[in-house]
Amino acid sequence: MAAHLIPRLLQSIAVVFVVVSLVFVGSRLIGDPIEAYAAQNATEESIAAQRERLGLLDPLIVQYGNFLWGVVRLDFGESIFTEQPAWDEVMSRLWATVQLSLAAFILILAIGVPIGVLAAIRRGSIPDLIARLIALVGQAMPNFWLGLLLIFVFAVQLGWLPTSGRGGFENLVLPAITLAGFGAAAAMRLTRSGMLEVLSNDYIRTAQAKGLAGRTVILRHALRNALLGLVTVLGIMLAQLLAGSIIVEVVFAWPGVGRLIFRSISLRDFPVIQVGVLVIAVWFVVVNILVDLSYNILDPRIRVGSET
Amino acid sequence: MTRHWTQLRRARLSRRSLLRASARAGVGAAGLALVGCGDDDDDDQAQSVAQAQQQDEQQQQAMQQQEQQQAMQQQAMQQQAMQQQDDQAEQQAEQAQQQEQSAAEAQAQQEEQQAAADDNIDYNATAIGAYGSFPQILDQGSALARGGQSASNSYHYASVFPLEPQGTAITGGLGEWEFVSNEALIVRVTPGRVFHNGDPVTAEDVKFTIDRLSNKAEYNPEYNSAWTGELVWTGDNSLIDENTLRIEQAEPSVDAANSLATGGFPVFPKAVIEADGDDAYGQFPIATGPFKFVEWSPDEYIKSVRNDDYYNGRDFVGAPRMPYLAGFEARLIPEIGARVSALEAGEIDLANSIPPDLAVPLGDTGDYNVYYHPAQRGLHIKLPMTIDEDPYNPGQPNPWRDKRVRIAANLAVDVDAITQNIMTGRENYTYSLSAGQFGFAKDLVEQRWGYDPGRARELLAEAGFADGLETDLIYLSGLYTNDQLFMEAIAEMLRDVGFIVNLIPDDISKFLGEARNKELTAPYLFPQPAGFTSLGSFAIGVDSAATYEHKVEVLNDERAEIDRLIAEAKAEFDTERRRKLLEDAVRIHYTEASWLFLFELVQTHVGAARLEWDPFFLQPASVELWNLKSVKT
Repeated sequence: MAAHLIPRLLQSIAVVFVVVSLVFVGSRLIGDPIEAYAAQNATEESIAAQRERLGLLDPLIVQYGNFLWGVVRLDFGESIFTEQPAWDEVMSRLWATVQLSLAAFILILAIGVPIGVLAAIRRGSIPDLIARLIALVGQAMPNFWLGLLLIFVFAVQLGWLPTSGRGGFENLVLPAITLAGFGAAAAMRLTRSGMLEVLSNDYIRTAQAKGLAGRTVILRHALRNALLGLVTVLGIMLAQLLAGSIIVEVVFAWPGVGRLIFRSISLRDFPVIQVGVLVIAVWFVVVNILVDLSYNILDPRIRVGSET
Repeated sequence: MTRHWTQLRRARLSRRSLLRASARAGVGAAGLALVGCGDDDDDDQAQSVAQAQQQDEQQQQAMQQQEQQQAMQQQAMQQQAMQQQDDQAEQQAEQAQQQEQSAAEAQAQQEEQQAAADDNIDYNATAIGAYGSFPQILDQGSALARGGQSASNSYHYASVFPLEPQGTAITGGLGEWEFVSNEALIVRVTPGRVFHNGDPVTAEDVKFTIDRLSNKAEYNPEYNSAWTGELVWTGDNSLIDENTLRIEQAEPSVDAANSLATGGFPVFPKAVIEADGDDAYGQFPIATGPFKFVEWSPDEYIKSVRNDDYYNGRDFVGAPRMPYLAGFEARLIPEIGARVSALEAGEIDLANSIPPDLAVPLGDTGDYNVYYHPAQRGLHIKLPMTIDEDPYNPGQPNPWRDKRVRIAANLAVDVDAITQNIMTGRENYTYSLSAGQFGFAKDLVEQRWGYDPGRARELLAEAGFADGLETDLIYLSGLYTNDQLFMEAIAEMLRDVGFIVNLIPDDISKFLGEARNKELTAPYLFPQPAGFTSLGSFAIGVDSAATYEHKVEVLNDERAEIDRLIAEAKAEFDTERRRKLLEDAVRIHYTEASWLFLFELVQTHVGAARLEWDPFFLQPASVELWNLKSVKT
């Protein structure tokens, strides 16, 4: 276990390092933050003073060295615009995004997997057709459009839910559904195809021939095996939900990390961009490791470290 | 106050009537006196006088009688004429009296209606408004607070001096000013004015504000000020007494007082900032504006309440004034469609910056008020007429230096069609290099270039470009409503007359950097400077040395003359002469077709039916929250 995990962790650290380095270089190629906020009649002296204060006059390699030294000390600098620690800026919004992502992930599991199973065991039936149609629409519809549609129907026309903002549970419903839309459709299709593949195997027929109850065959023998392929995709989905919530956060005025990064990119707020991307990269890596570990639980045949 | 003026008007009326009556009486008495004098000439005649003498006398008498008759006739005619005049005067006086009475009645009726309207205002009402962006921090003085000002800082802060509708400083409010020749500006703070925390505003706070914003404040000389450009004229400043400050002018500035008032110039509490620091102040501003900050969540909301200690009453001549609303909450809803939905769902009362295609249908329902106002953004395309060589053909002269080419570009674009079909239809064509609110160069209407593609083609051919003239055309994509659409329309219209246009959407940061560094050689879309004084907008927006002008390799005579006029205006303390100089600059600038002149943007907002707004400023930056009324339903 440890023999597998340690190289995996080292590999993950390298991945995070490469990603953050790329973001460091990339963000400095897209423009100068001082230009984004300097007044039209700002004096050259004041502009130069600001560039010097932010270290933007140093050669890129020196800036990069300072950045890495800061990362080592867990000092990511201050936001150029709010002058608050960049780490605090991201962390203060992280829970809102995690909350939204987890809610969306639960919806993906709750909607995508059962309907996928149902569509597979009733292959060719009307429920299967409806499920496939929903999956197609769910994957084809852009989430900003789905979000606006949901707002119009459930907030404006029916008045059941608020249009935007972060407050109680009711504020979470529409953004979570919107964020889950694509993922649930994808999970539905993957579950269906995985189940169809598994259901055609001999051991399923054997289980049925043994007289096991249909529910037992589906849940214990078919679904568990079908989930093996799905877990990897769900893991990536969970990671993507955190990173991909930007549009949904903008549409629903959800005060999360996605919107912060979006705004920081437009303002060239380098420290905040770097911390935001770092957090997302770490999140991806952690989820991937968890997915690897989950194989142990789902499939004893590939239990890590048990090879002979 | 209003009744006092009505009574005074009525009293003036009575005195005028009395005067007219006296005049009529005087004329009548004089006429009667003249007629009475004629009767006294009938003398007794002595019988012993010779007949000749009698005849002579009779003749003379007859002549005298004739003369008297003529005189009496004349007197009668004069009397008749005077009577007629008198009658006319009387009629006119009556008419005038009637008119004034009706005016007074109308005024009284208007006042009654106003009073009824005032009674109809709910002074305890609050409102929620949604905005597309928030400032990053709430410190109005910081360059970091740029963007989203209307959601917060514009109503928490008030300047040293209030403004009149054109946006020019007037005395009153927090204080008044006096120029000491062109060497210094004396600022007197009116005693009794207080900050939001109840601390008195003193001259020391004004001094601290100026020092802080010009990076001279001892507590933090590296403060990231957004106002250094406005305060370059300030030299040393010194306190004369608790309420009087003398600001030396490092360079004579006729705009000194204006620069302490326009664009939301703030006044900071020295004690608070020195005690808490810049960072804390940026999170909890204490200022002098019509609304007091309560709390905020940077990505969610900003809550404020009316500042009941605000010193400019609702009948004050300038602005801002005491708000009607008791409280206001700004919410951040970046997506336009979501803002509209929040309004329709009744979650908010005001949706800011809504494109006309969404706003107009809402207004048509009768459930909402649509507010239009000219933005402080007159758009134009800067033409690279100060660059020597043609960027497409090195060694060849720059075609934009040829006036015929510039005129051709102006004649090629049907600005009215663009505003009618792509924009709101309410945009005004811009003639001036200064914002329309200053009213420069109204006489240029008759000289407007207009839309004449045929003539544009002829001019291009005359300039030697019968086969076409290639040019890039740069614009910032997504910065203004429908900018991509109207820029495509402009490009297409230019192509139609022979320009070979490469339309290039650009990113703001990259673009501004290139423009500031004078790296752009092509025409580019640009706005008139916003939030500056009339003079400031000239200096910043058009002077060939201005920040975002093309690089200057060579000036033609006209352009040099514009620079000279602006420089002269900067040093001209007489308002009228200064205006004349600037108008001359505008006139040359337009007739030389120095830019491709477009239009002034119009902003559109939508409010709930209960919210009424009648703009005070000619070009407000956004909805004036202090001026927003909630009517009782």
